[in-house]
Amino acid sequence: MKKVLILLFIITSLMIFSTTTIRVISSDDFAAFRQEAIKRFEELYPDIKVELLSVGYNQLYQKIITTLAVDPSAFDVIDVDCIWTPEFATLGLLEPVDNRLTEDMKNNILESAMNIMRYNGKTYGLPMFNDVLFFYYNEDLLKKAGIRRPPATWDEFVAFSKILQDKGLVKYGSVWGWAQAEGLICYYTLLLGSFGGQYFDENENPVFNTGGGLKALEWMVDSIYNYKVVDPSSINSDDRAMLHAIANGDAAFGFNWSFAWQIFNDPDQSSQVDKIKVALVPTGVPGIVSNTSSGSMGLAITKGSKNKEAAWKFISFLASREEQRRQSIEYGAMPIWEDLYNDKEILTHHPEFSEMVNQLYYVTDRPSLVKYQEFSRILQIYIQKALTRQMTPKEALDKAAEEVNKLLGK
Amino acid sequence: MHKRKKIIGLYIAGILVAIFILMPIYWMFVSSISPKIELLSKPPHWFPKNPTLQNFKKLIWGGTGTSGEIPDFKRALLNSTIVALITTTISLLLSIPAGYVLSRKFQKFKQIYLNIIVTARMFPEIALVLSMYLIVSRLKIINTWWALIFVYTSFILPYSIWIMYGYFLTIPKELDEAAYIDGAGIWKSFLKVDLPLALPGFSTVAIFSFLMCWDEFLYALILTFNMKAKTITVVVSEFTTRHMIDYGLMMAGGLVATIPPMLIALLLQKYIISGLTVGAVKG
Amino acid sequence: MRKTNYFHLLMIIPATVVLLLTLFYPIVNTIIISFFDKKLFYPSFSTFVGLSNYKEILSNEEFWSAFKITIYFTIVSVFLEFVIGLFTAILLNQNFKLRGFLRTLVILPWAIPTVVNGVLWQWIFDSNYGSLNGLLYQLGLIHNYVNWLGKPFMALNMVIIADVWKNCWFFTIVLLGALQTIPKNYYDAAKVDGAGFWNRLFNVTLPLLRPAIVVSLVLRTSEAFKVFDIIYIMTKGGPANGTQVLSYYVYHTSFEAMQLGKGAALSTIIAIIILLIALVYIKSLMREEVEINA
Repeated sequence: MKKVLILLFIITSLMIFSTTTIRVISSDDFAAFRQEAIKRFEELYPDIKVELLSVGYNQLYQKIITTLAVDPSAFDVIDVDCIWTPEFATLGLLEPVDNRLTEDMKNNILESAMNIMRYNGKTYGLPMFNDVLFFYYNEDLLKKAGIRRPPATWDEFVAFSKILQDKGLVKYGSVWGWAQAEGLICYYTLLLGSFGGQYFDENENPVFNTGGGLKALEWMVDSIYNYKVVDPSSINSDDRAMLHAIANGDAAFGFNWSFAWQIFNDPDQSSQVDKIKVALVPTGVPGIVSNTSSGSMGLAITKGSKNKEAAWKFISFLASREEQRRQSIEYGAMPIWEDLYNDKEILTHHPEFSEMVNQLYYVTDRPSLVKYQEFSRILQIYIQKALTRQMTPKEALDKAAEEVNKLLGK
Repeated sequence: MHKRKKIIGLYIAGILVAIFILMPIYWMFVSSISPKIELLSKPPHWFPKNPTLQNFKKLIWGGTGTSGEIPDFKRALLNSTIVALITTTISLLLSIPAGYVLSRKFQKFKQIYLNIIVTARMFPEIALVLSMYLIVSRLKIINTWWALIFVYTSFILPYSIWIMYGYFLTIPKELDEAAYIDGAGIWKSFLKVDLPLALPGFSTVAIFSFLMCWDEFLYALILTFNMKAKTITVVVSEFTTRHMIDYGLMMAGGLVATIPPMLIALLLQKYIISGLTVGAVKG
Repeated sequence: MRKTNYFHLLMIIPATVVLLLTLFYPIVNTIIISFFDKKLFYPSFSTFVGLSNYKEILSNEEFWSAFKITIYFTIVSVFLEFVIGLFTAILLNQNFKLRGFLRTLVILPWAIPTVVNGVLWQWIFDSNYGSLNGLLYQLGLIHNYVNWLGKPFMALNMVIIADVWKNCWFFTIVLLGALQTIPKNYYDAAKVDGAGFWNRLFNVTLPLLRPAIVVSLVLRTSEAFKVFDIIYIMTKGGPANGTQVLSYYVYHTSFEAMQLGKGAALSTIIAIIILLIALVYIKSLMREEVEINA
C-alpha cells in the first residue's frame, strides 16, 4: 500500500511538473525577435515549452491551412494576417478570446490594431504589431542630388527620381515589390488610396476599375515605361527581394514594412546604415495628405488546440508592454499599446519612430472578404497583365472587376 | 590536311562544350566565396578580390540574421542522407527478389506486371501529392523522415524492379538451374549464383535511388515543416523566399547540397552510364 | 524448378504489397476524388459531381493557358536538349584527347539537384547583379541591363535555358552509350560510299540509334511535361501567369485554392496526356516491335 502511494505521488508530481509544449507557426518577419522572446517566456513559465516554426510569409497561409485541415490540433498558436481573419474565423479555425481579454487590453490597445483580429463581433487573438507600408528614402543620396526634402506628391516622386538618375546617383529612383504575390495588392492599395480610389462602393460593387483605382495602375505602368523611374525588376521582385536595391544604395526610394528598418540598419546586410529615413507616403491628389496599406498581423489560438491556457499565456506575453517595447526598439515595429507611442525609451532609441507614427493616420485596408484569397489572386494576375503590357490598365481592371463580381456571386 | 582540320574542329567544339558546362558552375563557386560587396557590384567581379569562407562558416556553425537563425544545414544534410539511405535499402530489399522472380517465372503475367508499374509512374508526382498528403497525415507520420521514405519508395520501386529485372535477364537461366540440380536448393542457388552476378545491378539501383531522393523537392516541401525533417532541397529553396535573399549564402548552400551527388556521379560514373543506357541500348 | 512455388511467390509479394499501398492506392484515390466536389477544409463534406470537375477545367481559360505553356516548354526544351545532347554524343564518340575529360564533365550538371540549378540560374539571370547581364554588358552585346525574368514569354524561355543546361546531358550519356555499340565498319562502309557527315547521320547513325532515341525521348518528354521544381524556384508561375505550367496549376488549385476535387481531375488529365504522348512516340518511332526497358 505504501509503495502504491509513493508511486501515485510520483506520478501526480510528474503530471504537475511535466511540461506542456505549444506549437507556434509564424511568419519569419520578426523571427529573430520571437526566438529571443521565447527564451524569456520559457524562463518565466518553466512548465511551458514553445516550439516555433517560422516560414516565409508567402508560404504561411498554405502551411496553416493544409496542416490544420488534416489535424486541427497540429498548431496551438497561428500567425494571422489581417486579411485572413474573416476566412479563418468562418472556417472555424480560431478560438474567440473575448472573455480572456483584460480590462487593460480592452482599454489601452489601439482600436485599429485590435480590429484586425475581429470578425462578426468576436475577437480572435491579439495583434502583434501595428504595421503599414512605410516610405523609406535614402537621405544621403537626396543630399548628393541637392534635394532638400523627400517628395510629398507622386509628381515630385517622379521628378526627384529623374534628378537622381540624371546625376548618375542611381539607375532607377525606386524599386517596388510588384511580383505576383500578396505584396502587390498592398502596393496597389497604397496607390489606390493615395489617388482617392476605393475597392468597393457602398453597395459592395467593385469600383477599383474606375477613378483612383484606375489611376493607381496607370501610374504604375507609366512609372516603368514612360517616366522610367521604377526599376523594371519590380515586376518580378516581391516585397522582400526588392530590399536589396535599397540596402545596397542602388535605389533611393522604396516602400516596405517596419521590419525593413532593422535590415537597412544592420551592417551585415546593408551598406546604407543610418542613411535611410522615413517620410509620409507621397500623395496623388490634392486633399489627400498621404495613404498607405496596412499589413498588421496577430497571433491567435486554434480551435483544435489542446493547450489553450498555455497558448494564451504565450500570446499575451508577446503582447505585453515590455515585449512590445523591445520589439519596437530593437526591430522597428510599431507597438500595439497606445501609451507606448509616448514612451521616452522608444523615442530615444529609435529616432524614426516619430515619423513612422504619423503614417498610421493615413491608412487604407485591403478589403475584408471571406473569399479574400481568390479575390487577391484575380487582382494580382490582372495587375501583372497590365504591368507586362499584355493589357491596358483599363482592360485589365475591367476584366478583374468582372471576375470579382462572378466570385462574389453578383 | 583534312584530318587536321577535323581534329581542330573537334577541339573547338569540345572546348565550347566545356565552357558551356563550366561557366555556371564556376559562377556558383565564385559567388559562394565572394564577400557581399563584391557580389553586389556592377559589373560583377569574375575573380574574387577578397575571397572569404564566411558563407560556409555560417552554414556549418550557424548564426542569426533578421529572419531568425540560419537554417541548420547540418541537420538538413542528415535528414536528406538518412531518408535517401533508408529508401534505397528498402527499394533494394524489395526489388531484388521481385526482379529475380519476374526474370525467371510468371512468363505470361510478367509483361502485364511490368507494364502496369510503368504506366502507374506516368501519373505525375504532383498528381499524387494530395492523396499522399492525406495518407501521410492519417498515418501521423507527417513532418518525419518516414513520410518522405514512404513517398520516395513509391517512386523508386517501379524503376528498381525494372532495372533488377533487366540485370537478372542477362544471367543465363542455365546457371542457377545447374546449381539447383547440383542439389543447392532454390534459396541457395539464388544466393550463391544469381546475387553475386547481379551485383552491378544493385549498385545502379542504389545510386539512382540515392540521387532521386536527394533531388526530390515537391514532396519534401509539402510534407515537412521544420528542421526535424526538412531536406536539403527545401532548405536551399527557402533562401529565395525568406526576406533579403543572400545570394552568397544561397550559392554556398547550393554547392554543399551538390557535393554529395556530384561525388557519387564522378566516382561511380561507370554504373550511372550503364544504368542510363541499359534500357535504351538493349531496346 | 520449373514449377512456381511458395518461394517465388514469397519473393514477389512484398514488393507488390508495397506498390499497392504506396502507388496504386494514391492513384485510385486521386481518380475517385476527381469525381467529387471536395474542398480541403471539409473532408467529410464531399458530394459526387460526376464529370463536372472535368468539364469545369476544360472550359477554364487558365487551364488552356497553362496547357499551352506546358506544351511550349516541353517541345522547346526537349528539342534543344535532344539536339545538343546528340551532337555532344557524336563529338564524344570521336577519338581526341579531350574526350575522357568531357565525358566526365557532362555528368556534372546532370548531378546538380534541380532546386540548386533553379537558384543558380535565378542568380545568373538577376536583373541588377546577375552575371548574365554583367557578361553581355562587358562584351558590348547589351547597353542596358535586361530584366530577364520580367516579361512572361522571355521568362519562360529563360527557364527553358536553365532546364536545358541541366538536362541535355542525359541525352549525351544515353546516346553515347548507344553509339558505342554501333560497329565501326558500318561507318567505314558509308565512308567508302562517299557519304558526308549529314548523310551518315541520317542514314546510318539515327536509324541505328532509334531505340535509344525513343526511350530517352519518352523519358525526357514525360519529365518535361511534369515540370514543377524549377518553375517554383525561379518564377512561381509569374509574371502574369506567363510561366504557370500544368503542374504548378495543380499545386495552386489543390494547395492554395484548396479545391481538391478539381486538383485531382487536373492531375488525371495530365496523366492521360503523358500516357498519350508516350503512346504516340512509341507508335510513330518504333516501327519494329521493340520492348521498352525503362
